[in-house]
Amino acid sequence: MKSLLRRSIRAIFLYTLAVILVAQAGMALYAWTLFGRSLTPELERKTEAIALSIGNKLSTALELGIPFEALEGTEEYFAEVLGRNRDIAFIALTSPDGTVVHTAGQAADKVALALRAAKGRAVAGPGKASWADVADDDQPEISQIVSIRLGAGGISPGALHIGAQRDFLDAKVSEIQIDILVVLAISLMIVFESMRFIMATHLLVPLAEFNKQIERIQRGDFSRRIIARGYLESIAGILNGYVATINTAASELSRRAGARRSALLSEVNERFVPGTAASSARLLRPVNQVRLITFLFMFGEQLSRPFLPVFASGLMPGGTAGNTIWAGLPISAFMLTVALSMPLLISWSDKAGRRQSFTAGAVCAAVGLVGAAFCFGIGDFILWRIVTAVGYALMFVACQGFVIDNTTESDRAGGIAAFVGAIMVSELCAPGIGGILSDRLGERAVFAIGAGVMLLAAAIGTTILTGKPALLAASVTPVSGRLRFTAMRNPRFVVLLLAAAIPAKFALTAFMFYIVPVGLASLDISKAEIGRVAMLYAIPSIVAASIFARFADRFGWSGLMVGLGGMISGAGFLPLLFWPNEMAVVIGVVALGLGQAMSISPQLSLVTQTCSAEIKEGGAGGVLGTYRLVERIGAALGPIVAGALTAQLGPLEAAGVLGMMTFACAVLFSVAFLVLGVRVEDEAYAPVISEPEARS
Amino acid sequence: MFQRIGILIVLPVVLVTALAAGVNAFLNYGKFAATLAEVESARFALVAKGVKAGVEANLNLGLQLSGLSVAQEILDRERALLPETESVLVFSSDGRILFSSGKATELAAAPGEWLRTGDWSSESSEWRAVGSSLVNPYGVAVGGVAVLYPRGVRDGILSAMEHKLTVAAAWTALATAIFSLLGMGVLLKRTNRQVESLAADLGEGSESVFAESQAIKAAVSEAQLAIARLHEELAAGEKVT
Repeated sequence: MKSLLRRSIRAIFLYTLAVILVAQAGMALYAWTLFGRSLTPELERKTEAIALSIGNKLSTALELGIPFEALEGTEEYFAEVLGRNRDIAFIALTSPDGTVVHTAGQAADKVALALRAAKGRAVAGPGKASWADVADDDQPEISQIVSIRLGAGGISPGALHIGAQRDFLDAKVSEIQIDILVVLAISLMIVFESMRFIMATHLLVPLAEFNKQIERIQRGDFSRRIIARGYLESIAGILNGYVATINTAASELSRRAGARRSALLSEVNERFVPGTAASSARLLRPVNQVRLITFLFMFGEQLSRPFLPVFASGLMPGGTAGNTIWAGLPISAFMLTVALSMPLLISWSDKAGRRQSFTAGAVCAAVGLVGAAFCFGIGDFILWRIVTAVGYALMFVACQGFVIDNTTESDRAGGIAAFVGAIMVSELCAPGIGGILSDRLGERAVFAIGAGVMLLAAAIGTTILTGKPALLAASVTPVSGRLRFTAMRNPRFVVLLLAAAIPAKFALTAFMFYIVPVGLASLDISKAEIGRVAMLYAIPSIVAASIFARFADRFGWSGLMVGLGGMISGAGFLPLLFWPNEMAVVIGVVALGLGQAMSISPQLSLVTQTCSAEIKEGGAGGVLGTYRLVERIGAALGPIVAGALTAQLGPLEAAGVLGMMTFACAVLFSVAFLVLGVRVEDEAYAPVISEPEARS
Repeated sequence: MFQRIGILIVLPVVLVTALAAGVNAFLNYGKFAATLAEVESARFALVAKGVKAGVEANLNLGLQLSGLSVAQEILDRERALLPETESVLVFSSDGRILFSSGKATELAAAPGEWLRTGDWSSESSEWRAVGSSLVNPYGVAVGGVAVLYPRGVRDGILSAMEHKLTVAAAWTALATAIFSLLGMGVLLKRTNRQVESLAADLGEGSESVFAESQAIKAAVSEAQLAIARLHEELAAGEKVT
């Protein structure tokens, strides 16, 4: 029954994605057909012009009496022309009997083969040259041959032939194929997110509620009704009817029981769990809806990732001292603002409500991005990034708060997973599309587009984030300074912060946000390509983070995962010391993604284990507040240190040094925890933090 | 309900598809325009290269560019290679136009961007141009050659391509809308039929087919039975009393 409905919902998703895939692929194929159809005549005209130009020169030489076979330097001249025209496969000169005398690009026997296979066109080409087509089977490299007779009138001393490269247009098309694939993949993900958002209220959440209700009733639990809404309204009504029947009967029994009431009730409770006759339905709380607005917000913000430090660097007058450090400053300012403002904004968001704080955050961030799009210099650019950071912090506390307000301990992990999942998907999508757009439209336009996306998020947010917080979780309650101070007295906590938490965030911002764009730009790699490389970071997190977290929890491998994750991140940068090229950067990005996926959730788990006493004393909020603040300060330091290292060593070499530092910290952490131990004292506090929350 | 959810799903699908088709068309158009420009300018660059080779051969004999008597002949010969060439100009290093062939231009002097060394390309609202600097045997740039050609051909091709891609993107969005709506209609109706059959299966008094329905009904009747038994016990107790 349940699987039947699940299959139907899956079919709706698959069908929609298939329609988009086919439509986009059809569009791309049509465009490429047009490409070939419109460019082929132009290429033929060009090839013919080359043939005529070379023919004129050769004819002049022949008319001057130079013997045909003794034309010195012909091959070199042909090779030079070939070097300038990638659409030409060969240039050859044949004697009147058809023997290939001079050739460049292809060997004489291959040229002879192509000339024999060529079939002349019934309709002449655009000029005085003659054209022949070559079948793919006969010559896979040559598509057409243009020939002109040399000399003027009388007996021709020979002919010039130029072969057109068959795959030239394919090569041109392939240059944009990856971009189009990226656009296609991103559009599929955006549609997927939109569908989740729309179907949440009508199908997904009612189905989940329905499934839970079936399980409850099968267990004999008639304590709750479900809200009859969306597609499954009729089924929910029937189930609620059963619940009401049982509860009415139980109430009637209770009413009749009189003095024996308590004895009867305990007997009833032994057999099943009744509610009251008027058991109210629990409101639907589709916290998944927060995914779309989080996704859109983060998408708008992260569009600039492939070029931000390079853009900042370009805002400074040429020859500015410490240019590379200035380039990292906007990122550091952003991170620091987020770190410092978030604890202050939590209580404001609690008071103002989630809708107001999200809308304020999205508008504030959009204003920051518009300011960045029209900035005059590095000073105001940094200021606009700070404005965006305040908006970012507001969005974060509003969305996280909305999830916490609308979940209980039992379903909070799922809610936070939806929120964090949206951030990860946007990390996958935004850099790719941001790179493509900035290559075509310029960086400033991309900031403006990001602002537009954020305003769209704000508009959607106002419709779905309603009401003031219903309940607040300890994990986000503002914390007192005393509690933070207490946590900092714990040596294990300090080691965890200094050797694991700070290096992890430091490596992330230094490498992903600074080194990748700056280093790849120094290799003359396009922003679209930089965006594609940046996309790779999110893949290990999306695919493997939850698996690693489960492993760590099940086998108690949190310490091992944190140490190993740090070592993998650090080791991934080391190839850049020896091979400072794009492939080494790709290895670094994937290793960082993998290392972070391994270590971030277990880090949180370790915090709760090492600080169990402090958590028991004052709740998890204080410890976590300290932890978040310190690690975000590490994130703020990353780009500045990377900039300073870049100034001394160059960006890619700087990554190698960062790798050594990260690796050394991971080793230090591992040794320290091997010596000190984790000291698990109170397991009851471990579940305070769920795995997905850890990644936020 | 059906129509509402169907439209709600299809709306962002069409919107995102239209956006993606637009970006798709935009990327393709950009690549097409760049390739077309490359191919077209390479063709006219042949004329410029021909002039450059001829003029520099004479400069290598020690002749002055301004007094090059064969220059006009070279320009006319090379221009004949591509009849669509508007004009070919040779200018001195200070921008003075020394020789020209073809349609008279309104240019009194070479624009500043033509004076750079090496190969270049430029355009105005009237023409496009490719050119190259002319270098004497000592490696000093003594002037340049410019080949002007009309904008019309490329602009026409680009405009046709733009139109076709825009239409294709619109069709893509429309086709997506139609197929999404049709498919969604079918799928949602099927889902609704399933919901109806599930409701019927779950309903009181019907013969249940699905295991979950049977289990629910069993749990309900077990609870009802338990309550009935307790009622009986209560009644028996009341009698005794």
